[in-house]
Amino acid sequence: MDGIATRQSPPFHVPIRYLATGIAFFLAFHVFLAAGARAVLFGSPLAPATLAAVHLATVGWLSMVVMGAMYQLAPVLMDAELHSARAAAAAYWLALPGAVALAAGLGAALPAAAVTGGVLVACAAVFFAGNLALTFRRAGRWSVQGTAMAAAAGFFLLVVAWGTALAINLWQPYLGAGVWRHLGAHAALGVVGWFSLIIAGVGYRLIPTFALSHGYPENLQRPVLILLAGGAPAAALVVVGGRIAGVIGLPGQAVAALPAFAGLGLFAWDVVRILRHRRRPRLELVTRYSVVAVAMMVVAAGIGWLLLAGWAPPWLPAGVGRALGMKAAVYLALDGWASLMAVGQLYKIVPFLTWLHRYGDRMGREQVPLPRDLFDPRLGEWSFRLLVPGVAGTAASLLAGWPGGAAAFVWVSLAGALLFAWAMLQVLRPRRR
Amino acid sequence: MAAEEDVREALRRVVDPELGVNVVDLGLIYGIAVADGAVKVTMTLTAPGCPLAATLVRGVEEAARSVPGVVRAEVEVVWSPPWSPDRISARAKEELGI
Repeated sequence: MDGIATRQSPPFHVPIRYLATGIAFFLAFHVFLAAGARAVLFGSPLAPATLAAVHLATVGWLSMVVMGAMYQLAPVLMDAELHSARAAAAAYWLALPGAVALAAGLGAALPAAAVTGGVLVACAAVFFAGNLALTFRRAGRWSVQGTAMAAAAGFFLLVVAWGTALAINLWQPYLGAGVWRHLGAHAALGVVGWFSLIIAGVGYRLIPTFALSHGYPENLQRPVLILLAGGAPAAALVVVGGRIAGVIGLPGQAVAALPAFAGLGLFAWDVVRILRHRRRPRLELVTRYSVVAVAMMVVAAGIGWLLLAGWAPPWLPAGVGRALGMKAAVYLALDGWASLMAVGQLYKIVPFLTWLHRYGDRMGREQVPLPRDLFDPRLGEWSFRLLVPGVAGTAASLLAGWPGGAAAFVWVSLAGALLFAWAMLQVLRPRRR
Repeated sequence: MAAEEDVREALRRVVDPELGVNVVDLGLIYGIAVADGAVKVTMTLTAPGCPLAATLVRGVEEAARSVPGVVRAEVEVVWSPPWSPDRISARAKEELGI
């Protein structure tokens, strides 16, 4: 198996703490969504409930899991020992209270708590990006995937800094109407520069590994990662700077976003090419999650680009359609593309790390269970069967302007999230050796 | 006196945790030399930078050393010829559904 750990990896407790905490936040996000779907999904993007839900998902769940996974994967992708496992462990104690304070502060309309949380998360991001940069310096060669990961860590810093500035604006308003443009740039940089770039970079390593793909063309990897890395700041800058009028007849935002969208589209095409070269005809759970996540990214990107180009869902009243369409795209990008990709990979990563920790030193001497034996496979299957329609149905309900549908589908995805968390708990629960 | 076949059989206890296939059927073992109680195993890994390199090498050493008559076991990791799924045994391919 190539792709998850090396001798140079940090101790087990470092990544697993981030991953377990992230999974708890994933569950909290889905509980929060189920408890207040109408307010969260159909209210103002700046409403406390919406801001809390978005940051439970983006900071508590996705960023926490990405940090944990990267502390583990950086040595593999960069072929160098992690600069400081101790700093990675210490940064957790900034990220955890930071994520809690940020989500709670935003949800309870307590700007001081939100700003404190934002500052703590920003400190954790500084530790993370610094640790990766110093690890990168140690690397003998710069792989394209490692470079993408380092760039994504840089974008993470920018995203949290921008987010903290926005949280300060909630406390002491200074941005005026410009807050919407800054919000758009913060979101664009987060979704493309942070989550999508890291998913694509790591996906190029893990997707072929888990599908047992061999001999697939690798010529698109560099262009895809360059388009994503270059496209993210380009889109963010134009969103902040306002639209460039009159460029080939389309709004400037849509034109500026083209590189990022092209990168996402090419990545989707590349995943298809990789899977065409797989040796396992049957798609494993992790690969099915990856395929669905990529499909949802394509739909989210398609809706997003059409909206930027001036389209509005014609079946919805004027003035409402564009807002709901953008919410559907953002929801699908976060809970479909990024979350389902993360859930699928965690079904491999968490059992593997736990197996290595518990049984690695006993291999060859005695029979040991396999990582896949550490949880009931039915939990994996059913979480997939519930999460996928739950997320797709919620996004479709948003696009259809149907609050009742969204309120029902979020319960379906909550059931899937519960089964996923239960499976991870089975893996992590202490066992007799 | 340990025989090559005894060592090969012992190595079947070393299983790739991702694929659930032992290193022999996976085609990772390129050679086994036995002489005067010393065993030298030449093997490869699925890819350079394989995360399980240390675990697999240690497992192969332990398994070889567990064979009666073996007093010393050494593992050499080589990259040529590179491993590919074509090296997986017919039995393991069937198990994996390849």
